[in-house]
Amino acid sequence: METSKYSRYTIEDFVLDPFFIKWIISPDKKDELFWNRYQEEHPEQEESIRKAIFMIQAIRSDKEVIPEKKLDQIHRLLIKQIRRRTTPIIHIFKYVAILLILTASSFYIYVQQQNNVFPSKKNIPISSNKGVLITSNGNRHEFTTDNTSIKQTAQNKLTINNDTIYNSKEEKQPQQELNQLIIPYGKRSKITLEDGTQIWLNSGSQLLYPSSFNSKTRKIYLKGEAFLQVAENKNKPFYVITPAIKVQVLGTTFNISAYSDDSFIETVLLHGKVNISTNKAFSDNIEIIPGERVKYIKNSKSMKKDHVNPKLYASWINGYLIFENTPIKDVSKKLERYYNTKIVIEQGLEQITFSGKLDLKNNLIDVFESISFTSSIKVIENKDFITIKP
Amino acid sequence: MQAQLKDEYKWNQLRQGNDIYFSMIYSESAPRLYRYGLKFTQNRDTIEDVVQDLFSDLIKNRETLGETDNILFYLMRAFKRRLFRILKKEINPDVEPLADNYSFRVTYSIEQEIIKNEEIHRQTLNLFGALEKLPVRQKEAIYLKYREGMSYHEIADIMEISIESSRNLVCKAIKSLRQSIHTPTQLIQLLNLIFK
Repeated sequence: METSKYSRYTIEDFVLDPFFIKWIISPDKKDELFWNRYQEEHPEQEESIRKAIFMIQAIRSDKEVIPEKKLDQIHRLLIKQIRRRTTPIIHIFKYVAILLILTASSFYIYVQQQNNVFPSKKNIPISSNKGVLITSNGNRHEFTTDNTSIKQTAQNKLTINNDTIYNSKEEKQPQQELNQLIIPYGKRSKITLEDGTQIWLNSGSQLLYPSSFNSKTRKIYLKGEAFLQVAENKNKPFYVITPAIKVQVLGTTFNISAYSDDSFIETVLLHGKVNISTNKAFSDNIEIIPGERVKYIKNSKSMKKDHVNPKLYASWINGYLIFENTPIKDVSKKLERYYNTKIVIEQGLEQITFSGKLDLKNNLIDVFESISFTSSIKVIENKDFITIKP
Repeated sequence: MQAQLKDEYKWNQLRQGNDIYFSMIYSESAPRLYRYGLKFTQNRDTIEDVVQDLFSDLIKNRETLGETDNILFYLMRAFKRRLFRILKKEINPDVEPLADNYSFRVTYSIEQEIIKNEEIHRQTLNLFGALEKLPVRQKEAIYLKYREGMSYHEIADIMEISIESSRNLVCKAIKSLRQSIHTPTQLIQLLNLIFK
């Protein structure tokens, strides 16, 4: 950036300069860097620059209060209009979509506090590289496939990768008894529940579900990441209960997803409508519509709603990951889970981000080789971990 | 780089019927349209109706929408035209909708911290006074420029004037504002404290 022209600038010149205006109204790092340095190098212009900032900020000081609630109401009406318009297409999807991301540590904390909510005795640490399904009668079924397909076809019958398993009919299956499915790091699974709901479980996830939904509501318990397509049944509301929050599925078309090891829980909706609340009594509800995300922050126990691109969150079920300016540590965290490999990032790489699509069918080294981060990196393969160097 | 999606991409997704992008566009632009509307009328029902109709038509006509690489500008232009059509009917059917005789009301406000300092407070009020006294078109032009970050080309389009005129409006406004801040050296020091 040439600085010479600025040295003769008056207050007005600064106020009218597009690059200067941009620095005040929507600065990026480059702008900050340039103007901070410019001010250091040109102390004689400090007064003009200060006054120019003062003027622009005064013009921008309009603090009109916008009725967010009213605008939200209009938004909902418009979404209904879209639904009506696209009804024939919508009927093809019998599902709605959500994504949840939650932390392993918060799980244990919440289990202690809220035994009544999340059935803690069922909790078994995710360790080996074997997936496990523990049925409500206590039988263990292990599997080692990378992508395991499980179907609960009837109350006493289920299939794992096309192997049929019958539970003894003599076994009583009271309502509360749940099957437990554990997917280790590095593996994934898709399970179809008795009502037709489909759930894709990502690496390092745990799901508790009943063999059949006999009560007035359908409840499942989730730790980790899952992508759900909940089968429509208006008479039996569907709940996904996580260690800290509860998601009520209201619409007819939706999907759910959830991950482990983070300081927050994220729910992203692709189709339909869901209601999210914390597991406290009298907790506030947040209703979200497609494209919205609710982020629950573990430390502050607060929930925040914003807009995201849901494709970024749901791509893993199709075997790839999409990133948009994602910091390297977040990219490698996802890859660590998916490949069950420790990734060590050396200092000095914190600022690097990545945008693009990663094919998870390739091995981890190839995936890293194919990544074009904003700066070049070196990937070094060690015995049981990978190091990323500048 | 900002982790923002390009307007062009969002707009094309909207045109292809991706309702997620509709929601994204709505939540980003509706509050700004609403605020812009409040500059022309205090009748909030009217503003809400226009916002709703505008987006409703966007859904209805999305296949036939034109291209844009600046969604906010595209929507603001359409919003203003619709709002003026209605205001014209409501207030005075004889008035040309985009003539000079409309009002542009901005409530400038000071941060509490600034009020605490008498000298700064006085200077700020001077500047606000000068802002209030600006001719209505200059007010609108600097609002679009400094609040919404628009180019002279876009301002010209929205205000239905030439690019040269839009530039002149902004320059004249800035000149008047500049004259309203007489700054004793003492003030500079105070400003430095605030904007440190």
